[in-house]
Amino acid sequence: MASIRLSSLSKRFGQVTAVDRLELLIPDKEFVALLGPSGCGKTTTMNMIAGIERPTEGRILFDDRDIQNLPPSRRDVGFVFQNYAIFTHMTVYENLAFGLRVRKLPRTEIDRRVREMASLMRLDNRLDWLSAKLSVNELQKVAIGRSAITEPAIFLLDEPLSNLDAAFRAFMRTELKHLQHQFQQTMVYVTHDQIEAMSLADRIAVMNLGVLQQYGSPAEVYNQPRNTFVANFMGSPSMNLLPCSAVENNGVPALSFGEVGMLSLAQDDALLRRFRTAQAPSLVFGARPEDMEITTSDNDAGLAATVTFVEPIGPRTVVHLDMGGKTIKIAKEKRFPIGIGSRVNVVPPRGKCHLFDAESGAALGLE
Amino acid sequence: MFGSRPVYNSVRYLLILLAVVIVLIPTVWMGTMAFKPFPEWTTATGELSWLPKNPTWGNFEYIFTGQTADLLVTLDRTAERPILASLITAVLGTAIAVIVGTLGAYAVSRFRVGNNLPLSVLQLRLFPPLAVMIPVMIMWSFLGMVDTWWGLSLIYGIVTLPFAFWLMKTFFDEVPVEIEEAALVEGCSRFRVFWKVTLPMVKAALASTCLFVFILNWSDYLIALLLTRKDWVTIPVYMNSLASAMGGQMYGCKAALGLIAAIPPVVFGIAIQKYLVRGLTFGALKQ
Amino acid sequence: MTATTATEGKHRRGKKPGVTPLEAEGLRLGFLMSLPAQLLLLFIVVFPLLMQVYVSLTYWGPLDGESWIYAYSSLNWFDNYGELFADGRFWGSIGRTLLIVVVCVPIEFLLGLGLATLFVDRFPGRRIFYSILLTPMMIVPAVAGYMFFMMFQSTGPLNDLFSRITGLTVDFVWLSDNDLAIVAVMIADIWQWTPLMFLILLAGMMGVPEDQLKAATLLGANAWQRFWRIVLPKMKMVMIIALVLRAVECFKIFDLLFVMTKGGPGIQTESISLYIYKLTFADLEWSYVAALGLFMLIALSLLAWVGLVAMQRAQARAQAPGGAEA
Repeated sequence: MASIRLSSLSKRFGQVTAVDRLELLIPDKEFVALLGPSGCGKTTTMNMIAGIERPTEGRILFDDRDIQNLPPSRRDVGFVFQNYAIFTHMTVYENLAFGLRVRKLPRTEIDRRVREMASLMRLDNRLDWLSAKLSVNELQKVAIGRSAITEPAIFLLDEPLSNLDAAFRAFMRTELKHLQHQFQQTMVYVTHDQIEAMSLADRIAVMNLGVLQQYGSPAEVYNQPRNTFVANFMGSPSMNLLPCSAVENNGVPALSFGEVGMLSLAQDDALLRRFRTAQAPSLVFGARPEDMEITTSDNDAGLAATVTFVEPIGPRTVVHLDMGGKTIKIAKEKRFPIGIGSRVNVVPPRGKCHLFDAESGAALGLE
Repeated sequence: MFGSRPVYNSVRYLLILLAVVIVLIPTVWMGTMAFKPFPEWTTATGELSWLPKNPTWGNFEYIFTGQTADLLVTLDRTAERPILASLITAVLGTAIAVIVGTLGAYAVSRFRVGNNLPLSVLQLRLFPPLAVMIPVMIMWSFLGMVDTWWGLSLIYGIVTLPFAFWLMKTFFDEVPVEIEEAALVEGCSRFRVFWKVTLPMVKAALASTCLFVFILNWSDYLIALLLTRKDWVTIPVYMNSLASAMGGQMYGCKAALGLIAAIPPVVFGIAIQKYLVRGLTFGALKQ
Repeated sequence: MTATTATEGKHRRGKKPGVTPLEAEGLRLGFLMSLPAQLLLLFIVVFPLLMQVYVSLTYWGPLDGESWIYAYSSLNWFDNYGELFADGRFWGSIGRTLLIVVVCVPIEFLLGLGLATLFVDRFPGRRIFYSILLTPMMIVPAVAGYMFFMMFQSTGPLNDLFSRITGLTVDFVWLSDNDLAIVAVMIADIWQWTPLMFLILLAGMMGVPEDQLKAATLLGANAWQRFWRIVLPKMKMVMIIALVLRAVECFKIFDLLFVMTKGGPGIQTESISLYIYKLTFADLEWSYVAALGLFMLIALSLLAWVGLVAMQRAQARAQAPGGAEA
């Protein structure tokens, strides 16, 4: 079992910096997701942990042991590739046995462990099949089983679910979680899918352009995004972000959204507290689509908007509104009775609003 | 990988350099021999040296004009005609193989017509040509095609047809049918689609196929030996006859001729390097 | 013959109802386009084959003064074939040819494989070295033969080189020595055709999926294990193709031999092709050559057929349980 510490880890390919001074501690037996859009450096990070790529700078420690000069084969990591990299010229059995055979384990031991893994993965009746004939879903299971069978201390998964069909992906998500409990391994999971990350990981490391944006539990990352990137990346539909400026209205601090309206901060203590830490008057206001309210009455304090599009998605309805030229989205649990073109008032949720510095994008007033 | 990287790298360079030297020794020997005057040819006539001590164009002069200062014997037949014969028959043979092969390959690739062709043409390469040459020689003399440019071109076209056919078939197989279907929907005839849509798409491949087949035809010795007598002998046949006419070996002159014969295929071969694997394995492998 | 009728059969089917006009047009065009190739095959396979069978049953020769058509006047049925089995020189040449194949092809294969492993990953100078190493196979075989003819002269550069290295007077008469002559020919063949093996095997090796190699590494396999367990099994097909191609071509060996030794000294380096050549041009025994050629045709066809069947079996076995391709 092992913890992983990445210490000021950088990787540059010529002029391009793929990973920039990354600091990350992955505790033993935890399931950590590296989350970010493509090109954010998450796969490079993973490859460096596995030893496929050499860091330009910085160190990688497994249990405080520097593994810089350890070849990949001796790092004791399991790796599941995005396209599985199953040995197509071998049967399922041979695939599963590969890691044990190259370690020259006794034949009976190999046989026992392969059969054990096969039954765990529900591949018993596929053992003699050439792996080239398997379905994608089965390939996925072979890939995981093949890596897990050597009982590595660290398990690395590179977008393992992205090639699966939707139904099997949902099934595999729960399966993976079970497996992790069973194997008791440190798992690092690379994904660009925030729902996967949210549902699987103990912690999420959000990356963008090679830089770590935020590292914390799914709830933390979701509820207290450190900057506009994280706020925007987590959640679907993503958080509404509206530029605004700090003003005083009759002595009361408020956010001005220009012609759209003004938001008094008198009743929202949390927002007020965030507001007070602002260094500059130009800000970005953020609120999640599912937290916002729509009313048709005029007397409510809110922001004026026009309904442009109503999009029912299953039980939910996502309402698109035009607010002074910017599109915002609001998610409702019920049917939405208001017609397109209606002028409405949008009311931000009390205590659930976010405020960011417009210049740096950093969240204001996080503890 | 293999121990430490620097060690492996230096071993690798060492081995590759060794291979390069082995490859170059005979080549360089012939290359320099072409420019050596008579006394430098063998130890029998003088001291051996790897580079010509007194470089001369004499050998080339001799094979093209029939005489040179060094050698007393004059040559009754000079090299222009065999060079021209090699060139003409290789080009025409290539044209036959590529045209017939391309048409057949397209028919098989698109319409599944002539499904016997892939294997039938392959068997043309299986047997030693000498085992099946008797009837061909009888036919050729019966039809008056021995020692003629058309007779030699025709047989060249036939023996290299398998390569042209298989190469073009794999190229056609790679052109998506959808592109042709789009043109068909526009109202093009099948043949127009082949001529105006598909063929232009494989233009580069077609050119490489031509060069490849040309190399094969140019490299022939045996068939020319069997089916030419005098007027249309090709370079290798002529080259081999040089020695017998003279008694002694004409090292320098033959090397000069060999150099001329070796250059086109090497240049073309390098030009179509990325198609070589595909060509030599009848399209079974790609690079 | 069967070839053309098969095509016509398909063509006729094209006119049946149920075939769309477009398909019919396709079949018509396909028939026309494959026609030249079919006619050429008819011309070069069917007629000559019949002629060869006919001539092989007679004593006819080109100096008989009468056309081959009248060869029946010397009809002898299977005498030529009987003679063939008693022809020691024929079997000797077959043995010699097989010896060359058995020695040269594996050496070429191993050298090519070794070179290919050196070239799998990138390194400075890779392209230029690659091009240089390919040149021998592009040199006209007759010219390559001549190169080695020069190299192996007793007064030539090779002996000179050895003399200088050892300080002794080395004067092997390579090409006239009973044992060395065939070695010299083998060296020439290996020199010329190792590049072909190298080219094919390198292409195969480059085709081994990199991610599977990475996966093997991460599963703990060292370089040697990766080579044996991943690279070689994945190259099985490529290796078979390379070996078969080379074996078939090497069996035909003629140009190198003809230029270097003409089969000599005596018949020490006489390959089957060379023997047939001499029978054809020196002895003018055309009917015997026809019989001999036909015998080889049948033997090689059988061999090829057995090979094809084995390959199809193997393929069928690989495809036994259904399922999607990875």
